[in-house]
Amino acid sequence: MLNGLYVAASGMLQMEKKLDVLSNNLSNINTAGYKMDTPTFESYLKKEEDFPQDIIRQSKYNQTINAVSRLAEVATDFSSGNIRQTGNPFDLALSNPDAFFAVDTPFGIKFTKAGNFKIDNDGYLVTQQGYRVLSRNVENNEGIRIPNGNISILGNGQITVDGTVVDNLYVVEFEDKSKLQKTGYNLFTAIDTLPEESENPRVMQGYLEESNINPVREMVNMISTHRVFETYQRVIRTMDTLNERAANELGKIA
Amino acid sequence: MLRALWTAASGMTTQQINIDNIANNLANVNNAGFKKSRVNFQDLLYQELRPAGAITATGISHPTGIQIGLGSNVVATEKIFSQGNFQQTGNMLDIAIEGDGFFQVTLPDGNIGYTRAGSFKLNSDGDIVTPEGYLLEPTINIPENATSISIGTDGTVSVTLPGEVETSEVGNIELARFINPSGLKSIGNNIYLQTGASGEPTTGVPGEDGIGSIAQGVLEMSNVNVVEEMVNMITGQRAYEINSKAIQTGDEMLQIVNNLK
Repeated sequence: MLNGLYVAASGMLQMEKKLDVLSNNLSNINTAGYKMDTPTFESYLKKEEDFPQDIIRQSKYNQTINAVSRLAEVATDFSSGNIRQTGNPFDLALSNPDAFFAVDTPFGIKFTKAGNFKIDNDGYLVTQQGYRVLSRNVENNEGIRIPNGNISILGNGQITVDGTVVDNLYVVEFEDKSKLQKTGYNLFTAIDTLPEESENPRVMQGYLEESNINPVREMVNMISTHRVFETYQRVIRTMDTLNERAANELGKIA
Repeated sequence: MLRALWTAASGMTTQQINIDNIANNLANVNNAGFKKSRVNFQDLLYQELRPAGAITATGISHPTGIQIGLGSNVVATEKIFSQGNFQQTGNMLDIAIEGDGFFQVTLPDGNIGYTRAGSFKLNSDGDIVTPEGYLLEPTINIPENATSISIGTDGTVSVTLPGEVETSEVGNIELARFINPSGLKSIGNNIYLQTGASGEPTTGVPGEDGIGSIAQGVLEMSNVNVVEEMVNMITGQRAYEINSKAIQTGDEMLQIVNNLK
């Protein structure tokens, strides 16, 4: 059958995945600290080293017509979201786009930009999911316990209660943020990379970082995804018409 | 079927809860002592199409994986206990708390409820009660012939009796505070109950240890900011709309697939 059918079908499948990613972005438009995902695609050519024994596939002609597209990567855009004033003393925003809060979860230490924290029943600073926010005091790190009183959190992450320093937030940065992977629940996992303490975290108390979704961009992306999908349909129908001709007209005897 | 349909549907559901919450805040805008709540969102799980570090046929490992998110949900609704505006009423039994802290009232089932709504009344026995008739804890009885009631910033309640020059003390208002007031449970009527998340109440004399001092003749209004709620409502509506557009796009794409043949 005609190769183009499979190429167009691969394109359709990729557009479907793109819409999945866009929908997730739109679904999280009001999620604090959410970072936008962007899918990128690549043309996939069977390489010589993949199939060394396959001589026919190595010809330039075959490589060209067999080039299907596939999802290469879903990259996360770590640019800052809007920072909104809330006035809640436990809403913390990091205006440094490279900085993350470190939180202790049952499945290891994770990182987050969602600074909508609260105090749990033991007096520890926790995320909305109940995970403890980590303190700079790394040894014996049980989290940050905040006593009753007037809480003020400074730009460098210092926590003071009634004017006395009680603890420091552990705010970190990464050399290569592309190694951060989303795990849901507003958390990121560091894969093959180690956090370094941020020198300038720029913590803002009483502010919350919103998601960095740009609805216009997502809408335009959605329209183009839809139209490209439609175009592939046309390609497939054209190919199908060619096959129909071959089967019904060419094969007609007298 | 398309993941996008369900992902966008989860976005619409979270926005619906967001609007429900905004509507409740707005409905209580003139409710003395009411505290607004806020919905917190989180992203749902991610489906891993290719794990990070997977080895390709050529023997190179991919530095990053491919993950597709599956939408959003509501993780918590949180009460925001910021101070509401004060309104001078001049009523002797309108009491406001400046700072943290809650009034304690005895509920009909014997449990203690906590409230910030300070529009108290007297019942037929002369006890200080909430508008619902719940007794203030500890109970304070005002003598029938008292000509005026004065409440100090430290919660001391004194009355003037006819023919007397000195005021006489009839009781003390105690306040309770919680380490995590956001964990309190609302049961309506501006009353909160203690939960495992709020922690045990610490009671004390108003004005001490940051527990909040008392102002007489003043009512604390709700802390709902209409402008803020309005802006939240607009963004909530648009987010709902844009998610419905994603569903529509997904639907149209499925229609295109159906028209392939």
